Amino acid sequence: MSANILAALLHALPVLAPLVAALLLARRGRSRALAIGAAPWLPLSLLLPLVSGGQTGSPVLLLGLTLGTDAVSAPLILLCALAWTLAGLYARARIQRDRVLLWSGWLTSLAGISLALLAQDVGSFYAGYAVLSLASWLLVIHARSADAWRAGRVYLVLALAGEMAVFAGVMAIAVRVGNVALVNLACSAALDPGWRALILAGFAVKLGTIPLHVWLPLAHPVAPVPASAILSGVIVKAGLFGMLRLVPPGASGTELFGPVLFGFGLFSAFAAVLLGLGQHRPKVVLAYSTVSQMGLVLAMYAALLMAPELAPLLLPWLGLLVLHHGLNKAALFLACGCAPGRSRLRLALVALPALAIAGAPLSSGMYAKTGLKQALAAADFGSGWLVLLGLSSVASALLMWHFLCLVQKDRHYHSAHPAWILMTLAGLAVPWLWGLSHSLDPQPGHALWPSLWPLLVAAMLVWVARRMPRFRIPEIPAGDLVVPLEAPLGALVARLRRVADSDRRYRVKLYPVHVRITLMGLWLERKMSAMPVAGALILALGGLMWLASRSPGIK
Amino acid sequence: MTAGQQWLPPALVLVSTLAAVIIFVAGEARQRLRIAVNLAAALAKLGLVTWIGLEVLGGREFRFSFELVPGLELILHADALSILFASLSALLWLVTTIYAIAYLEQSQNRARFFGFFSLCVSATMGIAMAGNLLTLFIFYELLTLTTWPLVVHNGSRAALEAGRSYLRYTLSAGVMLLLAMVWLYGLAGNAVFRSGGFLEPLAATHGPALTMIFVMLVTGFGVKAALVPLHGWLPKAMVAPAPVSALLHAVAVVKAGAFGIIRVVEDVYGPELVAQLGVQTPLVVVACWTIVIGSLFALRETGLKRRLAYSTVSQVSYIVLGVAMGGLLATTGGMVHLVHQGMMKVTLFFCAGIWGLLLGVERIDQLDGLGRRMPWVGVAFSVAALGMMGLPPLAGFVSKWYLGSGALAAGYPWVLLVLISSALLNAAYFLPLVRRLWLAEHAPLEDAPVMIGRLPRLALASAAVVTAALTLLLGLLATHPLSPLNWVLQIVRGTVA
Repeated sequence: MSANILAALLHALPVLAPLVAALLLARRGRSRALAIGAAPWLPLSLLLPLVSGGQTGSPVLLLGLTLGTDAVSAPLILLCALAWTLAGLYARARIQRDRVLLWSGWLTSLAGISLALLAQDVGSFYAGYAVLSLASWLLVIHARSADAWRAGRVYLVLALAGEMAVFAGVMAIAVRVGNVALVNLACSAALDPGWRALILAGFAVKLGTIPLHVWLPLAHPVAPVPASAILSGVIVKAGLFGMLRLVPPGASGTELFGPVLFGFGLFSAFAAVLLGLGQHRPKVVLAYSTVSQMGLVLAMYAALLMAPELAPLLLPWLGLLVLHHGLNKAALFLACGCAPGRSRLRLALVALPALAIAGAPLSSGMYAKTGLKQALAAADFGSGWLVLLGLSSVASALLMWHFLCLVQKDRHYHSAHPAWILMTLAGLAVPWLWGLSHSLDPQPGHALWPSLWPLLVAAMLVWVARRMPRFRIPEIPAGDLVVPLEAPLGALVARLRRVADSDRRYRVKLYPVHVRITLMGLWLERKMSAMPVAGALILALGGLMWLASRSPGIK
Repeated sequence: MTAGQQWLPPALVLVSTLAAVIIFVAGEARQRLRIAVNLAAALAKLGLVTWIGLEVLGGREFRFSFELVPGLELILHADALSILFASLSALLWLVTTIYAIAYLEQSQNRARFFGFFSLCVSATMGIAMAGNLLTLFIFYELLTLTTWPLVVHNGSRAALEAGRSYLRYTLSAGVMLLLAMVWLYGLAGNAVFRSGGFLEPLAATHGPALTMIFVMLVTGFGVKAALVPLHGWLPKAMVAPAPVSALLHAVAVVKAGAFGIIRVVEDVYGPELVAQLGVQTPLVVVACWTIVIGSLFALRETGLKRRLAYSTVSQVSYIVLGVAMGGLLATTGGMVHLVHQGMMKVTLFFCAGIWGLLLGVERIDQLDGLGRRMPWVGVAFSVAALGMMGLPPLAGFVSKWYLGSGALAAGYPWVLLVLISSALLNAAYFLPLVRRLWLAEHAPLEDAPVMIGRLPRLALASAAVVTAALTLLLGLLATHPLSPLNWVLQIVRGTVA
């Protein structure tokens, strides 16, 4: 009995503690200070259920709550605990403005992602994911400038649309098997490919796959530095996690998606680099780098779908890739706030994670790419992928070089916060520790040259570009696809609003009936000629629904 | 089953009538007596409903019948569905009474208001306890007549016009209901509610007649349930004082309309006959239409209460949608939304009323920075708004889950699209409000804030906070054996006791 209570407490703590701290924020004075003081350390409580293992649950909470950890969630829990804690320490020291807004968003996102990571049933997973998506908005709009509101709008529209797509898929699952335990999803009855596609598209928004990536480059420059660190470092990985949970490798019918996702992943990997090279703000370059790296992660997930028998062997490799990218990207973001250009030491400290992401020899990037190659080999995608992988490493190296050039210009007076240094060290060491503890063979002999030649090619390209004085990469606005779409959508919304100004509509008229009927007729006529857009939309909607209900096969 | 206990259903109805009589007789001046009578009646009602509920859970049946004319009976009975509606009404009544006492502290004609308030409760209890269509109709019309004085309480031009519009709609609906009912009685005799419907035998011979009667019944009940295009009275009725709006939208009138439709579909016709007659899909289409149009209109409104009114139009159709689609999951979703939407909507109106009374807030752009000014009310509003959007772990999420999976189970996958669009539209018109409350700078007030005493302020805020807390609990503890969701699941499976 007491063991049960202890297990329940350990599992519930990571979800409840941030919520309690968020409530304590409300009261000024000591309780607020206590909440902010404790907040950075709360993510470490995620390690407790990871270490203790086991499952707990309550049939009366939510739709039947079960919490626990397993092989799929272990790397993300570790990443979340480390990166979120270190970024939190940075945030507590550096962010003094609008602290309640920052910490309420911070803590609620933490509660959401903790629930999503620990959930073992579909309903609770979705609940955590939904809370995470909404709470991250608070982090994006923290600055409350015009740019921040715009980034928040784009983020919210995409996040809600993605979440609704996932919800539709979850409904399809629920109608078949109810609030099923996630481990049983792989062997339960097959879902229609359409629903699976919806789920994957919904999570692809979070993961930042092109063309659903547009919120990332808008959100990162406006969010505070530690918030960007956890957005890119941890939160986008929730998209991959969702895919692993709801479309698990091994579920029947998922192999279809392998090639498609692989294509999207590789496309993102390359296109994001091209877009990133056209940026002139370091945080935006990092955002595009995240999009590119998540493309590789998506490709690895696609490989897992194609080779489900090897999934148990390949999952730790995926975990390694995720850990490597998360910690190093978070370190790069924290570096953006620590004036890396001020000294050679700082520059060297920034270069380390950048080299890791570029896959330099002996870095965690090289280790992670070994796993990626294994997965792609297992999935049997054809012979060209080895070259493509090498080219993507060239691309990453170019992007990281671009970033380093931009960031070394930052010589403001900022002290180097220890959290940044610790994050860099974590990014160097933790992936190796993870890999070695899971007996993942780094294959040093085979991996050294493939990790070296892309850097050499990149260096050569940079040298050639320097030699050509006319060569300039065009400047691309951050958010690429959003920019041409924003104007017409905004005009449409403004049109609907103007047409429907309700303030002047209802005036009390106490005229005789026949006058009122005449007036009503005139009013109707005026309104009908003034509402072409709304009227057409309403008619079309009605027609569509009628058509849908008449189609054969539907009652 | 002792004879004495047969008096429980009529007692439940008559408690408030007695309270109303005392209030009218006591007059305007006896304020303390009025407050005491109001609270005592509300508590007594809650106690009676709990008693009846426990008895129903234990398997007892209650049936009180009274012959008006030979062949026409007034029947009051208590089954699981009546207890669902009655308990929601009784609980929200208590909270609304406390709110109304504090709200109208400095208002005129309070005796008139509370008298009709109590009569309105009686009518709602009568609707919940109605055992046949005649009783339902009688109490339905009584509800119209007792709510009209509440709508026109202010006495202003706008209020009188709103009252006129209300009467036009609801009395026309009453005529249509009467015609349908008379026709039905002619065909089937005494139309006593029975789970699964009692019109099956007539389906073969009187199919078209039954279809026509169904359309008329749904239209009649649909006026109060604010189905588009019968919803016109609802936004106009927003000129009434906030407790009336809360009542109308969450507890009494709109829910009575939805309840009437539930009774017609479940206990008069039965889901199989509804599908057989071919009226199921049109009803689903009408409900979806209302959901989308209500949300679109809500987006356009700049007045706070009017936006909430259109939100009600949209959300109450979830109930009709769930019941129309049929099947275990969808019907559960629809019926449980009766409770969940009531709780969330009453919270929203309480908060809107507090801001309107104390700070003169009528429009959305006056909401800027109010969250910091009145934190408890702001949090209550935010919780209810997020619940309406369907954010877990709030009440709205549970309804959405059951309605969504129910749509797929019943074979209406396009309804899932409608639900998702509605959720997105809900986000579009509720999130800006929450954002304004907390993230916008204070707007300077146009008038000086109204001063009321400390106890009334506490009462107003507590009412909103209690219903917001219940919204959270209803979602968080949805699968608890005592939750409304479990009660509804038992109703739908027919396994109460």
